[in-house]
Amino acid sequence: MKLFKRTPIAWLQLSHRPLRLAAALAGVGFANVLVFFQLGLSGGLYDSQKRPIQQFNGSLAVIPRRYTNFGEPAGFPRSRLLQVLGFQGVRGVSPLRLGKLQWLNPDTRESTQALVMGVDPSNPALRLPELTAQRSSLQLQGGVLFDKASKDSAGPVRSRLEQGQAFSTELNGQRTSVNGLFQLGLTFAADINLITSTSNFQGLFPERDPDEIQIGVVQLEPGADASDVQSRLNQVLGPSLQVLSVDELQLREVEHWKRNTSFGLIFGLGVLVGFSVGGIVVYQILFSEVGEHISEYATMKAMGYSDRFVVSIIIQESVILASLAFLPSLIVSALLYRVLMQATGLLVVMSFSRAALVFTMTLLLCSGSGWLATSKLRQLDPADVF
Amino acid sequence: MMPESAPLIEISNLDHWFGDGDQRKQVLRSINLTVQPGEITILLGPSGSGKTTLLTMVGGLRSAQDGSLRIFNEELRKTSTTNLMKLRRKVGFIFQAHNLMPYLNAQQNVRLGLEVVPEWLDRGQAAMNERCNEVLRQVGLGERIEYYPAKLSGGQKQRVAIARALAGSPQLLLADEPTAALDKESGRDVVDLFRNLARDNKTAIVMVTHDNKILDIADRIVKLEQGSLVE
Repeated sequence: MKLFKRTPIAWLQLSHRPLRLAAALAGVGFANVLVFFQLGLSGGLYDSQKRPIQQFNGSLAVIPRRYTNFGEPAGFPRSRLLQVLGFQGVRGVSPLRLGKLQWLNPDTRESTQALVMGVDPSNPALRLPELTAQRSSLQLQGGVLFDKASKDSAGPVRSRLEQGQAFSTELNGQRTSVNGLFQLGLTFAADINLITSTSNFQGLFPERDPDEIQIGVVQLEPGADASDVQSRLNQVLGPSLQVLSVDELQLREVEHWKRNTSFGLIFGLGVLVGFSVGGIVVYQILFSEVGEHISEYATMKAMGYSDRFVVSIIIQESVILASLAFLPSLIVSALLYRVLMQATGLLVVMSFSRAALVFTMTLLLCSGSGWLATSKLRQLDPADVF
Repeated sequence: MMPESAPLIEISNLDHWFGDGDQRKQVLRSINLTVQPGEITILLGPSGSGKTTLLTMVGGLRSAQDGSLRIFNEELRKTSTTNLMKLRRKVGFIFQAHNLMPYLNAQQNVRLGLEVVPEWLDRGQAAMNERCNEVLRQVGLGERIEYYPAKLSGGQKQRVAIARALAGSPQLLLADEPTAALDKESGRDVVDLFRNLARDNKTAIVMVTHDNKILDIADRIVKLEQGSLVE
C-alpha cells in the first residue's frame, strides 16, 4: 500500500497545468473518436450487408456455385430448387429473384441504382411483416414496394406515400407505381431497395428467362436437423449448386466485402491513423514534460529514486491521459454513430466489445508512447545536477 | 571526535579522470580524506579544481575509478549502480540549483526527500507531513508550506531545497554552495541548523562554499588545487 502513501507526482504534474492537460485530453479524445468513427463505419458497412439475408424466411439457402454476393448473384433454374421439395426434413421452398435497375427520380430526372427483389406474394422469401400486410398491393400489376431507408436521391417517395398520395416513376423504361413501403435498410449493392411480385419482376426484366431465380430459401420441418439436411442436400444437388445455412450466407456476405473490396484496408488504415494521432499527441506532451523537468528528474535520481520509479511517473501520466480521455470520447462517438446511422442508413452501433477494444488499444499505445518519451530519463546521469 | 566510532567517509589514494584516450584528463589526484560522524568539513578551491567532482563521488553519484572510497563503511569503487542508488538514500544533497518540482508545493517537495527513505514511507502520510512542516519551520518557511515554487523568492526556494535534504535526518549531508542564494540572516540560520544537525544527530557534513562568513562553523577546512588536496 506504499502507493497510496506517496505523493501522486504524475497526477500533480498533469493537473498543475490545466490548459495543457485539457489540450492533451482533447488530442487523445479526438484520436479515439477518429478510431471509433472508422470502426463504426467499417462495422456498419459489414453488418448492414447482412440485413436482407437476416430477413430470409427459412434456415437454409440454395445458391449457385458462382454466387459472389447478394448484389450480384448468378442465377439458376427454379426447377432445381423444386427438386428439394419432398426431401425429408424440408417443409417448403421460396424462390428469390434479384436484379438491378436504374430508377428515375421524376423530379430531378436523375437516375439511381435500385436493387429489385422479386418474391412470390403467397410464399415470400423474406420475412418482412409489411409483405404479408400489403400482399394485395404487392400483387398489383406494374407496382413495387419501396424501402423507407432508400437514399433521398430516389425522390420524395416516402413523404408522398405517407401523405396518401401516389408516386410513380420509370423503371427500366417502364411506368411503375410505388404501392407501399417497407423497412429493410440499404446495402452497398444499391441506393434503393424495391420488392415486387414474381410476375412484376418478369415484367421489369423481360430479357430474363422467367424460370431463372437467384436464391432459394428453404424452410425446414420443425425439429429437423439443419446441418444434416444441409449436407444431404449438398450431396444431391451436385456441384453447380450449394446449400448454406442463413448464418453462413451472412458471414459469406461479410467475407466477400472484406476480401473483394479495399474497404477493410481503408478503414484499417484509418484506425491506424487514429491510433497514431493519439500516440503522437501523448508522446509530444510527455516528451516536452520530460524535457522541461529534466534537472528535477535528475535531482530525484540523485536523491536515490530508481530509474524505474522516475520512468513510471511518465507511464502513469500516459495511463491517466488515456483513461481520462476515454469516457468523453465514448460519449461523443456514440452520438456520432447516431448521426452516421441517420446519414448513411448503415447499421452503426456502439458495442461493448468495440469500446473495450479501443480502450485497451489506447491504453497500450499511450503507455508505449510514454515509454518512448522517457528515453532521455533512462540515460540521465544524476551526477549532472551538480 | 569519537575515536571508537568508524569514520563515515574514508578516502585513500583516490584518482579520477574524465574522458577517454587522448582526451583523458585527470581531475582528482591521490586524494586522502577521512570524515568522522558529526564532523563539518568545508571544501575550498578555485573553480575547476575538482570540488564538485569529489562531492558527487562521495555522494555516490559517480563510481570511483581508482583508489578507495568508502562511505557508511561500503566501498564505492566498482560497486553496482543499484547499490549506489540505495546509498544515496542515506545522503542529504543540497545542490547549487534548487531543482524543486514546480508542480509540487513546498511541503510536497520536501516530502519527496522523505518518501525515498523506506522507513519514512512506512510511517505514513500524516507522520511525513508533520515532519515536513517541522523542517520547513526550522528553515523559516512555516508560513509558506502550501506555496508553489513559482510564488517563492530565490532564497526561499533554496531553503525548501535545504529542508528537503534535511527532512530525513541524513547521516551524511553534502552541500554545494548552500548559502549562495540566501541573505545574511537566513544564511546564518541555515548554518546554525547544520551545526545542530552535526551536534545532535552526529551528521557528517561536507560543504563546498565561497562564503567566508560561514567558515567558522567548520571543524576542518580542506583545499583542492588542481585535483590535489592541501589541508
